[in-house]
Amino acid sequence: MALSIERFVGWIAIIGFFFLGVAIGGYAKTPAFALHGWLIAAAAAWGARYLYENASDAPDRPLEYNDEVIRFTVIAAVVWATLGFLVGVVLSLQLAAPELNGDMPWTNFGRLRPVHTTAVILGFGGNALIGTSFYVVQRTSRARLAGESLPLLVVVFYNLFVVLAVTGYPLGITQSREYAEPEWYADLLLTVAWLGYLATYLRTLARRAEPHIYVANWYYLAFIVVIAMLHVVNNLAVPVSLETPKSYSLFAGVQDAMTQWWYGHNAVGFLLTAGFLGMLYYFLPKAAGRPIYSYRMSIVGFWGITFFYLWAGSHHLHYTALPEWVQVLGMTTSVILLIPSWASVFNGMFTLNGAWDKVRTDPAVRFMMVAILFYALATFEGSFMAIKPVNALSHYTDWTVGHVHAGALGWVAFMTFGAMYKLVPWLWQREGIYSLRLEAWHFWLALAGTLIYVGAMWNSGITQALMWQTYDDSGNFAFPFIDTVEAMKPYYWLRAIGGLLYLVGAVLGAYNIYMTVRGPAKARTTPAMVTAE
Amino acid sequence: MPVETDPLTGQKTTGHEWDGIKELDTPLPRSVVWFYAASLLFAAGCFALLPAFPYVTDYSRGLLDYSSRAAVIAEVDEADERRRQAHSDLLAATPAALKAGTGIGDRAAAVLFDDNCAACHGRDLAGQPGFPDLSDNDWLWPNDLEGIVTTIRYGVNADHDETRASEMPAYGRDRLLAQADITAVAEFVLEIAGLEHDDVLSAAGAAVFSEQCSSCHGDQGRGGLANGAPNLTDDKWLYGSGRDAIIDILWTGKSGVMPAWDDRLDEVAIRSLALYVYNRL
Amino acid sequence: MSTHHQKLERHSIAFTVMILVVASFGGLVEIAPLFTIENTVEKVKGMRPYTPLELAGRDIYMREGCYACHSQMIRTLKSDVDRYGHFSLAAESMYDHPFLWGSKRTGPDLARVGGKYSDAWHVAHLRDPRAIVGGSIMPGYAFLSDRLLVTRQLPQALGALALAGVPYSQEQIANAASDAHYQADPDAEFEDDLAERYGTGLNVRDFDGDPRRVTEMDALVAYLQVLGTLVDFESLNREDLVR
Repeated sequence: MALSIERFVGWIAIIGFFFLGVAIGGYAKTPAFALHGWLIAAAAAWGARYLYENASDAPDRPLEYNDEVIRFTVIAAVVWATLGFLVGVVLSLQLAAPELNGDMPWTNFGRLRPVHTTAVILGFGGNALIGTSFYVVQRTSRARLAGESLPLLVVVFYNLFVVLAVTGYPLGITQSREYAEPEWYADLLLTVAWLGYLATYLRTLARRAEPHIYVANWYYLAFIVVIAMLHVVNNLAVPVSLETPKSYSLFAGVQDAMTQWWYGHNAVGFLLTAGFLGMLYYFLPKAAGRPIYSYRMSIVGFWGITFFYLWAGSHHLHYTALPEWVQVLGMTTSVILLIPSWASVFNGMFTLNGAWDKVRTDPAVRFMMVAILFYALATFEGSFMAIKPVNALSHYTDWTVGHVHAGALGWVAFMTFGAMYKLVPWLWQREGIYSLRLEAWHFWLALAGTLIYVGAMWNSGITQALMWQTYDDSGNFAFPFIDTVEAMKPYYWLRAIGGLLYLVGAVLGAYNIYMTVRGPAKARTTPAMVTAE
Repeated sequence: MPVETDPLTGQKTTGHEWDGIKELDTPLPRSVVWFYAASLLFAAGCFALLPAFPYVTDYSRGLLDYSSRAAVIAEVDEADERRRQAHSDLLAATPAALKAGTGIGDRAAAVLFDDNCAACHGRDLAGQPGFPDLSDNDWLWPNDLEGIVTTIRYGVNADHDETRASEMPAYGRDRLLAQADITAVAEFVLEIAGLEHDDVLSAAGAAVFSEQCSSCHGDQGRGGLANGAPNLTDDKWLYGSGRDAIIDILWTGKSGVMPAWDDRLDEVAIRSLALYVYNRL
Repeated sequence: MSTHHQKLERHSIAFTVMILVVASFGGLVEIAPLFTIENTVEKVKGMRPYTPLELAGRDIYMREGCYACHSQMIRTLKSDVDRYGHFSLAAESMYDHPFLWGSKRTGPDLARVGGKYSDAWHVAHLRDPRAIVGGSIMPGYAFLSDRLLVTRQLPQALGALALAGVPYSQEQIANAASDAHYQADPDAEFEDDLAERYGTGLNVRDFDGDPRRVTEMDALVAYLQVLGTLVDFESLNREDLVR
């Protein structure tokens, strides 16, 4: 049997990673690095067995969607969400009660923080995006996912990457690039898995029975393509040796800073924004049973975001040693960015026209509607904070943390929960979610948690900024730095409470999803694709 | 899929359908176009006025030729000038006349102290192990205003040409004294400090003390402000009291460091801090 | 517009390429010129690559995630300059692979912390920050004093940095492991060797208060003590900084 290009490349990659893993396991001088080496080797060995066992690509089952891999991502997303939120709550408590750091290497705030950000962004967000993108691209193309073995390999190795990342930080393995902390070998793994993801996605699109590509897929495509570009460029580094996990970034100082925040801002732009807009464009009209408000608005929103977002990263470096001209470009494009962002907001909101009753009756729709509102808030706030004089106040303070969480808790996670409550019954062929009451509880807890969190951080951020910058009448500082630390205390407690509420909501959600999956299947009638006609 | 009309909005669909999802062909609302235009106009204005576009080896300066760096340099210079004028009496005063002055004021000086000095000496000036108490009268260096100004400006054992210097040698580690002598002199120090001690050993230690230690700590062990040697006869112990602590210091030596603030703080700040500390003695 | 777009959205590859092209502009325009525009990194006197001990300390700073709460970037704002000193220059991080400007000030900026406190204070503070500074919420790092510094990888580390463009000489690379020990030597017996390789004015001493051994605490304190101290601001013409 002829080896398809896809399987050939798959074999090469898996053999390559097997040897890389063994080499690391053998040469590593620290237990943590050796552990990672053997983990990679074991995963590669599993991958080889999986490829071998599926040697004859099962005769394509073109009339059935491939949902197995999606179920895997849904479970992974729920697990990562719970873990990520939990670590977030621990971190928030450490800031309020510093004794909780334990003053041990693997429990201190600095090492735990990336566990939180990676688990929620890449573990929860990433799995949710990969899973829903596979779901959406099949349905909107009326085609089975391309490749019988690659999708699962992509998903497994993606999650291996997340595991390497979050186990590495407490053990001291990090590049110290925010939201790109994993070291070179994990980055390599992600690059290959991601190319497999892109290949799967494009090949599925190529099989589509619909002449046009649906908007949701534009966004998912932009998410995949741009993240690939950002990831590769931002992680260019020179590894030290196979004995230590360490590497040094290829660029230094000002160029490195610009590259990192070009990456950092657009990880927000294309993972946390474009990807989830893709989710919105499928699950919102599906759940609301209404057509998309305006196709033209979709176009304006999509290309506006795709073009302008990539210019805005330098607003993270206002007033720094980055040259003035780059700061000005970042500021102005960030302001322009508000327009395409809000075009998506209005497109989403007006799509709900004629379905407002469902906001009341269906918590999933309510989740999505609130997600759009928080998206509107966060994008407005983001453009506002990118204006230099505002940034002079907001930067380095908790205001930024509040802003990020308005987006992450309010927009990204609300959107995901809304989509999941629809997706899980569809994926497992259940009549509906296990408990609408629990779903509603989840909604209100999450909303209360987000509002408390964001409110607390606005207050603390602005207080902090003003205290740093207040002078007395004769031009001396009114507050020493340490006073600004102490003034944060009540807000840090409040934030922890907000985070805790959010976590409790998410645990209820996880339980609800678990019970739905365990519940009885509904009578299956015909293969999914035929009903889609 | 034919183009339909949505009964609710009266808009036509685009004629496409994906998994049951349709799109309306609603024209772009005017407001979107206007807002886009306005934001682009704002950007164009910024580009014209401010530095914005890179060329290969240079960049556009904009009509205002603005630079945050130039702005902050001017702003800081102007404030410095105002500050020098406002405190001309402080800057002109001799240390003796300084006593009458108030510097930048107590509250502002406290902030300055908290930001720069409190990390070691504590916000209450009471110090902590290894970092001297500034609120008592048991000082290592002169605690008149001139002395305090000098210490702040040049530091102690600091990276500065004019720094005050003092070092307690590592008598044990560097084999300057035999083990027995160290044990003995420690008992002598305990004795002059009025602490529980061994009389026999102490008597032997007295000789060692007068030979090795008295040049800095004085014959009576009362220290000296001229060389930063602490008074050993009181109950103030920078590195802890008791036999073990004393032997430890005799063995490993000590030379506490206070950084020089010459480059970090301006003259107004240094003099104001000196006043702040002095007024609390 | 929509008719053209309808053509585009029928071709998945064309659509993908279009995304890539449209998304490339921002990075190309904002990053590439930073390598070619001459005054992006100011010409200053005094900057040198980190010594092996400082580099090892910097690696520890990254490993512990210090950057999550401390910035190393004094902005061109009066309140930053007044509290932390001269605004940071791009030149000051020209050998920083990666940069550590940070994004949050839960604790104070550290760009010019070098020389602000004594070694003894840094050690006491790192060991138990909340005991030394009332109101602090910083975690404790006492374990750094107990860990011997691993220097075996330093030659390769300097070698990797040299590949990334840091001007380390072959001699510096070859002696990296022993140089790390020399710099923390309490008697500074090898000060001349170090001066020959890294220039005069290095901090050569026992940093962690334990002269018998070289610990991770030595390295981290050596790194903190050099932060912001290298550039000779006296020799700088301020006009040249404006850009």
